[in-house]
Amino acid sequence: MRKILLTSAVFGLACAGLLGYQTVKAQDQELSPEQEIKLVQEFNRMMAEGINPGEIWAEMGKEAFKKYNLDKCDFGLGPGKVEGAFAQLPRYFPDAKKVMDLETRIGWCLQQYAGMTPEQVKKFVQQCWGKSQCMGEYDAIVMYMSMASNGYKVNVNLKDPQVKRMYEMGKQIYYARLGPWDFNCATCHAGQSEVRIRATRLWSADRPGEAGHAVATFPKYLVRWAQPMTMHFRYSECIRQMRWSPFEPHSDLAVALSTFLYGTANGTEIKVPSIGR
Amino acid sequence: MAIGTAILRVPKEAQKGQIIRVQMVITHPMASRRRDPQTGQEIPGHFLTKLQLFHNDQLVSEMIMATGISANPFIALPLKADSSGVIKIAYEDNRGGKWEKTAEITVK
Amino acid sequence: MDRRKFLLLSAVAVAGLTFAPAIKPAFAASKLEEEVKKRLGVELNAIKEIAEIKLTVPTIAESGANVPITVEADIPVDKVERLWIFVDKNPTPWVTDVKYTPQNGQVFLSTRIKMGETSNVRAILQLKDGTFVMATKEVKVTAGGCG
Repeated sequence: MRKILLTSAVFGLACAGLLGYQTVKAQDQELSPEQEIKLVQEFNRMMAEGINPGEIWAEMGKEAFKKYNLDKCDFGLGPGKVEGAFAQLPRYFPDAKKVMDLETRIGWCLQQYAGMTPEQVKKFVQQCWGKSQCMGEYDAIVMYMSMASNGYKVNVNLKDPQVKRMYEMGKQIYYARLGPWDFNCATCHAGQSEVRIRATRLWSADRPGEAGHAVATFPKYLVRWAQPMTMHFRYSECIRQMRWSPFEPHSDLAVALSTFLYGTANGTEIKVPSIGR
Repeated sequence: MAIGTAILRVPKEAQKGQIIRVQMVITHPMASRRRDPQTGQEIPGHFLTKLQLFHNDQLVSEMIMATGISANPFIALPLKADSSGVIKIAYEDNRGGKWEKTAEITVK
Repeated sequence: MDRRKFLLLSAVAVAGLTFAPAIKPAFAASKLEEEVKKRLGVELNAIKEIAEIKLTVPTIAESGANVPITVEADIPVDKVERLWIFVDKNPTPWVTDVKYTPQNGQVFLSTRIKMGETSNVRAILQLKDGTFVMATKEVKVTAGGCG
């Protein structure tokens, strides 16, 4: 009888010990949210080393730029002047009588100099939306032009009354609760407290420098789609996710948002492309 | 512009005996074999299989790979710079694609 | 059977059931071990971990599609035949292998690999004298947010 009790006791202790060990082992794999964010930022830093695959699109863009006669297009510094052009956009263009951001101006010049209709421009802009590993000429042109301002500081002329007007409109839209969910950009990208979506920490327009850092590095190469994402596609995705009415690329809404975002980013050094999930 | 396009970056100059980094990004989907959701047809994988590094036509290094490497991969390999000349990468994929890209280096 | 025997057998059964999950993996060779045996011709547990191989991978990867990996070794390149990269839990654990010559100057590789889930990443050096050494690090693959 004693032997049995002894054996059972030994086995019981051993089982308890093993279960206890497994629990402890599982616990040391848990990370606090702050640790997780720090480590994800380290991951993003490591990904940014070496060469960004987005640069392949810039090389394509140089050819496409000429192919679509964009060397005739004035982006604000004179026809065909590409270096530093992105840095001073959005700006007012007297020939179009509108404030335009980089993508809108490209779209306008495609109509003027490449003979495209507005419908064709829209198709051209959206050719890679929703795809992956898509080598699109539009994305390439945007990447080429954005990279040509690398090293320049964002310099949106907020003293121009037309630009200022778009800036204020963009700001209103940013903070306006709209759509069936009463969402706005500020729902995710504003405020002082930290907002996360799973392991990703979101930037906030209310914390100095963060908006600048986000927009002065677009287009962003996304590894999940193996292609770059331009600002207008980014707007389109955010707007879709907020359940606002479908976004029209190159619309006044886009220009207003761009003017607000790039205006807020004034002074930030441009470093395109960035890389992320 | 398509699959197989690469960016190849090496320092323009190096000291004799200095170990430099040969950096590259190659456009390639590096896709695994998968099934088309509409037709049920199997789509074979499409990925780089081999990358060779040459210096003045001498084979320096060879990298064998498949779908475990990311799409549009960044790759960096070391090279001891002992003479001026041409650095070349030659790479191929599993569908018969074969490409080359060169860059020049001056060694002092 | 009598009560004594029954109690003893039950104790043994309970212990067995508790220990079984821990023991099972040791009996079945993992896919990684099979791959290593197939490609390198050695048993995984015969490969020693050494500090001279510097394996740099992120602790957390927000996406498993593009995980940066850098390997640098403090071993003269003339002594090295090949560098092998394995990811334990990938459908195919072998990821890549690189052949080095003295012309490389050093053992170094930087690239981007795919990982299906949280797993160990292993950099194994095949030396010219027929031995193998390695460095292992774990990468936690989590889900990132939108954007």
